[in-house]
Amino acid sequence: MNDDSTSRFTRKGLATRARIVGAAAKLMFERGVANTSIDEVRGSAGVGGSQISHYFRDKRDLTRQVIASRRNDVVAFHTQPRLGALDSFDALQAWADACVADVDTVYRLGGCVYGSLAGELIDADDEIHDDLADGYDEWLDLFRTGLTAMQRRGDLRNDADPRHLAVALVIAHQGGAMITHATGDAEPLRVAVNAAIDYVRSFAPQPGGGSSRSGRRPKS
Amino acid sequence: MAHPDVQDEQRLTPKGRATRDRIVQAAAELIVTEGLAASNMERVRKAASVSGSQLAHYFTDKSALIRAVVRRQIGVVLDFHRQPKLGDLDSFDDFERWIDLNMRYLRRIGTSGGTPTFHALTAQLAKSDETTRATLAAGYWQWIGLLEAAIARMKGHGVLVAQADPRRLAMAIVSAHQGGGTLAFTYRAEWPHADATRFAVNYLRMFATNPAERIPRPPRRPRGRRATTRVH
Repeated sequence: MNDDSTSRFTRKGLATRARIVGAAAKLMFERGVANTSIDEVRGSAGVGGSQISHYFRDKRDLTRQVIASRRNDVVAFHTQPRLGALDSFDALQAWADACVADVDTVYRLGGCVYGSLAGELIDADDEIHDDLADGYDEWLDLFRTGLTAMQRRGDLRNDADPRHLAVALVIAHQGGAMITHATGDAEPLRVAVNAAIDYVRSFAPQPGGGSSRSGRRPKS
Repeated sequence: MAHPDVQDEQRLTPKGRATRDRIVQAAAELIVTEGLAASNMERVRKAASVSGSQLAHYFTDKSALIRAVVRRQIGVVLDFHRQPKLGDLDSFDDFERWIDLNMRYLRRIGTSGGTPTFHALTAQLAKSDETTRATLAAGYWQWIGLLEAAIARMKGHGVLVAQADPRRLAMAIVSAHQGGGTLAFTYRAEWPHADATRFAVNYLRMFATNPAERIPRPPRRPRGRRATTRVH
């Protein structure tokens, strides 16, 4: 979160502001940005209308703070201790399992907390697009850093592209979450994240040694 | 059995169908450019240049219109997969062409938004009401079903190994496609969709019977685009 916008508030003010953002984030997750009004956020956060306008210029400003807050949620999820540094096959599998474990409490209710915002704000202005893309950059970098470490250690072959594999992991999650939300079926998310993990695994060195690229010539 | 909405659609004359299509098209564009709240019936009526009674003749309410928008767009997706250039979509060559045609389609519609792609409609509508969500779900199952049948044919021809699960593969491919679309439109760049479709087809290749087909093809990076690091 940007210091300029927060430094003018007291500790208590910051707590109130965080409560408003939290209430807005929850409502926007459950019913979408378009279907969430400032009035509903006010009611849900238990604050007066003048307080909202004290902390946020308008709904757009509030939406930007929700994006920042959801971005922090994504980073916190991916940096939790049980996922290590996302730099081993076990850690990546633990990530996929942790996503699947949240199917009923998160994904079937509103999809991905971050991706459903990004998807809905597809026609927002440039600044909001940049906010959302910055969040994806950070998310992709978390995976890319882990995958690069794996490659350096020899867990992934030289022909593996950590950038591409990081994108595969995030987009599999985003698409799987979207379809699981739309269908109410846990299977698409489960299948998608596990497919991405298996894809990463397919770049592990071959048990027989040598890269598959220099392998035997096919018969047919 | 056909849904009552679909029966209505089938009863129309060619001229009636053209008017109805125009309304659906106008509504689809409004939904993705201005969001659901703004696309009330009056806005749709003006954009489609029809009278209020005409609009009411084709759609009893906004919800019926939204369902028609979603069904139209899944029709576009299914038609895309059935185009002659993709053959029967049951070989790796067909799937490589699927990547190319996806990228060509994206280049044509652009990544700046305004096109009612299926992921864009889902993102706008999935949180609105249960009936709309059920229509989106039906669309996804149709799409997954189409790919599942294609992949089952590949398996039947011995192109894929016995362990290949056509339904899971189809879900993985549609998920990759939708996630790629979401990131492409967020970044307003093509590379996420290039990575997504490449991942989808390389994942399918993991189940190839022929070892040469199993080798992952490298992702192609659209030129002039930086990947995950951007200028701030």
